[in-house]
Amino acid sequence: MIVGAVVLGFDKAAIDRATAGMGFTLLVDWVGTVLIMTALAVLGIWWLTRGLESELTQAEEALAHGLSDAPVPDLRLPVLGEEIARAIPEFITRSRGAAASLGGGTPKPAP
Amino acid sequence: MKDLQRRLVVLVSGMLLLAAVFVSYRAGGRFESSLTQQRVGVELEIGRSVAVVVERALAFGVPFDQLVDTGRFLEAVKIDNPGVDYIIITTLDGRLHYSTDLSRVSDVAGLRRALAAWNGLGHTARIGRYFNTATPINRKGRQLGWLHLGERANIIEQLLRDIVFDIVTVLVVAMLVAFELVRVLLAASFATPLRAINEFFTRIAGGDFRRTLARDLFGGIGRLNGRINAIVAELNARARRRQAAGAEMPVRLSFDLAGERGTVRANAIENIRWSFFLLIFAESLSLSFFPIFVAQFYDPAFGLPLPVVVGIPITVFMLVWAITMPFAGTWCDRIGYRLAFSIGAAMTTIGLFLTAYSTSLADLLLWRSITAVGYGIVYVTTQAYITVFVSAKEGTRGQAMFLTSFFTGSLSGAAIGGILVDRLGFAMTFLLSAGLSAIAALYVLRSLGDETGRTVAKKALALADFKLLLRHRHFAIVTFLSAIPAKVALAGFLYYSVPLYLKDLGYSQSITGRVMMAYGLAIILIGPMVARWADQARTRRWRFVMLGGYAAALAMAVPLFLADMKGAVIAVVGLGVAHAIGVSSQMTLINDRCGETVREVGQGTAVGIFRLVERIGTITGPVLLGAMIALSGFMGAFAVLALFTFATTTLFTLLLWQSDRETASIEIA
Repeated sequence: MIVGAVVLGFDKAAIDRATAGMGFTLLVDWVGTVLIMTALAVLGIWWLTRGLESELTQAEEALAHGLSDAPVPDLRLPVLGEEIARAIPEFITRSRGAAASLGGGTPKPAP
Repeated sequence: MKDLQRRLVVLVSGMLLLAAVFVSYRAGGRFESSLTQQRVGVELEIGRSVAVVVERALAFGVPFDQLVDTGRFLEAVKIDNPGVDYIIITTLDGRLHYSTDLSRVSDVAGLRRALAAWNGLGHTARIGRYFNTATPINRKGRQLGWLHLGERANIIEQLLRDIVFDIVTVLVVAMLVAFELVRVLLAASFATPLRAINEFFTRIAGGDFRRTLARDLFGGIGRLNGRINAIVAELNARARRRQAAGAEMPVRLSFDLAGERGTVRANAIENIRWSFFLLIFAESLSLSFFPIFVAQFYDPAFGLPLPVVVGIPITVFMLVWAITMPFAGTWCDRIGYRLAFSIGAAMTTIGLFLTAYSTSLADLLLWRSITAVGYGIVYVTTQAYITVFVSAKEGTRGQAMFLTSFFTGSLSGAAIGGILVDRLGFAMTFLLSAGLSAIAALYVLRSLGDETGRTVAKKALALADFKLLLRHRHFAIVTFLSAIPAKVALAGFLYYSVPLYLKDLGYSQSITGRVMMAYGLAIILIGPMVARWADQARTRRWRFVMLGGYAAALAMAVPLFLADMKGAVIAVVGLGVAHAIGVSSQMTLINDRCGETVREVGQGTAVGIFRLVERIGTITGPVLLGAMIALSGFMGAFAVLALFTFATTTLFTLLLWQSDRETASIEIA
């Protein structure tokens, strides 16, 4: 026969403080990990894409003189691929051809 | 370029995995120390409550070594506190007086030695695999002995063991979502701009200088767009000046004289893939809580039981989705895939937005129907788009990609939706779904290319389209002997029978959910790899459909030999692998064998009709399995279904083999 009950009370604030403390600790761990991993990822991506970066700079350089009278460059772009390495000089040649057919004298140097 | 992309994927995956492992390890360590303190505190309290009873008996003058029934009392305490592995009462020199049953305690001899050497300096110490907490037993202020409580030291390990599947689920979902994001970033930085530049150069080779390239936002290959556009803009400006001067324009060259500034956009399937994934993800966010959401609108005045009412919106959604597909197919052929997808995603957005504000069951049915129409349009449009824009030699890979995106979106959406609804509530989760769906619509509208000359049908859906396709021998063979049986297996076995079977074996709904998840994971992991082989097989692609059929029959027969959880898991994974092998090749096979008829009715129409007809399997599967389970039990039903799949696959094989022989004879003749 149940004649009564023992009632236990806990201070909720203490539990909330402990939970918040643990949450903060985990957040600090997470932020630290994200910062380290982001730095490593950026470094890794730079390392892996440095070849591509240099090829893109080479291609940009060639396109920058697209309408000038500079010689059409012979591009070597192993990462971007042979197709685009051929297509950019072709595009420059065709553009100069179009510029010539439109007249207006000497091709204008590109900015 | 592919090599670079592969290296980037490996780098990002490695980083993700490393981060997940490190954060988990640190969190485990933090919890271990925090929870251990808490557990030790609890043990001390248990120890004190037992010691008080013993001391009371001692206070009445009972000698310490003659306490009656103490072992049984300690056992009762141990049962009341499931974390406790042993309770031992020793004398001060460590001799054991009373204890619970120690037969399940590892290394009892070592434990006895450690207790004999107990110096009493600390309350708690680690002994072998246990945390031992000691409470002194006193009589009249003099200590007579110790009460030792032992609990396994690997608290975190034990807690993690209980939720290991949940952790694996979260990690898998996180990886799937991360992979999709990496894919879209790689596509936006490399594949899509490269394709657009190549398409642009092809136009230039034809003398077309009217268009420019899209402004780059990702800093990849699109970096070249600015320089290329500057050249074209200069040429167009010169052309306009020349025209204004009234001079003759050069022949065979076209320029943007009206200043329309058209943009070249590549038809890269990665763009539609990501949008499709995002839309499926958005729609699936509500999968885990949708029945509970519907139950809010239940009123006993409906005169229907709650489970039936909960099922109505789901059934209506499926029905509207199925009916929409053939119409959507014809429609997307007519207006173009970019526009059709965007309108479909916009309708889904509106449907999800309005669902958030549903006030009654009638409202909900209407909004879910709008969502289903949009969903159906997007589903068919995506598949038709992939079929049209993936080269014939990569057809199966394209279809596998479609299935992979569907299951990735569906699995991760359902898992993340369950977490979000706890934080955001029903309405906000639906609004978030609507927002994601709107992003999918806008992304496709912006990124998908010009489809001029690629869509075929410019007519409305007609009964003749159904007749034309269904009368085609190969279309009928693939649809009725492979696609429909696959859907019967999917809906009848996986969605209907497996949950009932596992419940019958005594497993909870959450465990059932995890087991069923294995089907989607098998398709995601195996599908793309098998599709590559299927594409290499070219004319023998049909053998993959055959292999998939036989594998499905075998998988569904597994529970006949292993009538437990292991058997069910093998069957579900086996069915996933079987469908990964067979289902992706079905649509490609139809295009291979019925190319002319498909072109006549339109790609989207063919996809829509195929998807509608195969729904016969989805509808009949649960009904057939339900009847069979009622008649002959689970094993009888599984045996019949396995035999049915075996028979249809054999018929499929014989008919295609015969057809190929006939074709070969005609060619020789």
